[in-house]
Amino acid sequence: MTPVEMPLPGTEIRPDEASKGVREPEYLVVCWNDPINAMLYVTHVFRTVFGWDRKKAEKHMLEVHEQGRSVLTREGFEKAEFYVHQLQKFSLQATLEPAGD
Amino acid sequence: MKLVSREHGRLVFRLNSREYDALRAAVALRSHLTRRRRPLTGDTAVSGPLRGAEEDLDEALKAHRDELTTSVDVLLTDSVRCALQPRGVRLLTLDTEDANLLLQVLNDLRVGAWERLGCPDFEAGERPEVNEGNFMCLWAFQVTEMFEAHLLDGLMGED
Repeated sequence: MTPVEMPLPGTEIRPDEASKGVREPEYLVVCWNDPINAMLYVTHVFRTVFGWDRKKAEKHMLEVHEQGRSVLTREGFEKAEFYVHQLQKFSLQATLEPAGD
Repeated sequence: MKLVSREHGRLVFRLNSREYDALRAAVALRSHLTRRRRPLTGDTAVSGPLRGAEEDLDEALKAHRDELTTSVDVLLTDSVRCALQPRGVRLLTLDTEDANLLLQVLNDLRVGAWERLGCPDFEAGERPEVNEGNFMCLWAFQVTEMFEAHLLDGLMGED
């Protein structure tokens, strides 16, 4: 059986939007450098939160360390918010920002 | 603290009585080392739905912190997962989930102590002066760092 996508309660869908298939705005999940979290720790957190392999986690960790920030993923609001929560639970400095286009 | 074995996703650490007491004392400091508010976005002028989401994050982090403290207290007093051996030695058996819980608590403490110390950049050579007001933070910072390193060693060696 195919799952039917239902709007969230309180969400109003205008007929013109529904027919045009308006895309949900996307957000970037960004991790920022800080002088406190160790590189090994950051790598471990990326692997735990995103399920990445060591190579990918280290690539993003080095981006954070060398460039001051790394865009970890691009998602709809709820998923982006979820990832920020997970990263902040591990005390990483993570934020979300509108992706633009 | 020493990693004794790592099998099937289970880590077993041996802690002598002083290490165990230090770990318990560090975890007990959590209520004194509260954390700064952490933003959801880098934008300082948050408005509309993001403001609500920012408040949700705050609440979620506070609730998570309380849950973590309780879970770790239970873990460290569990007679099976933290089994008492002769001479006060403890064998701490952690599955990956427990190890991550403990890691989060220790890092939260470490960052909380660092914030209380004024966020010094240790890599850049900044060293806070030890005084009556901050010696406990310096102690918590060092102790949690040591336990964290052992846990990470165990977890990262899993691959």
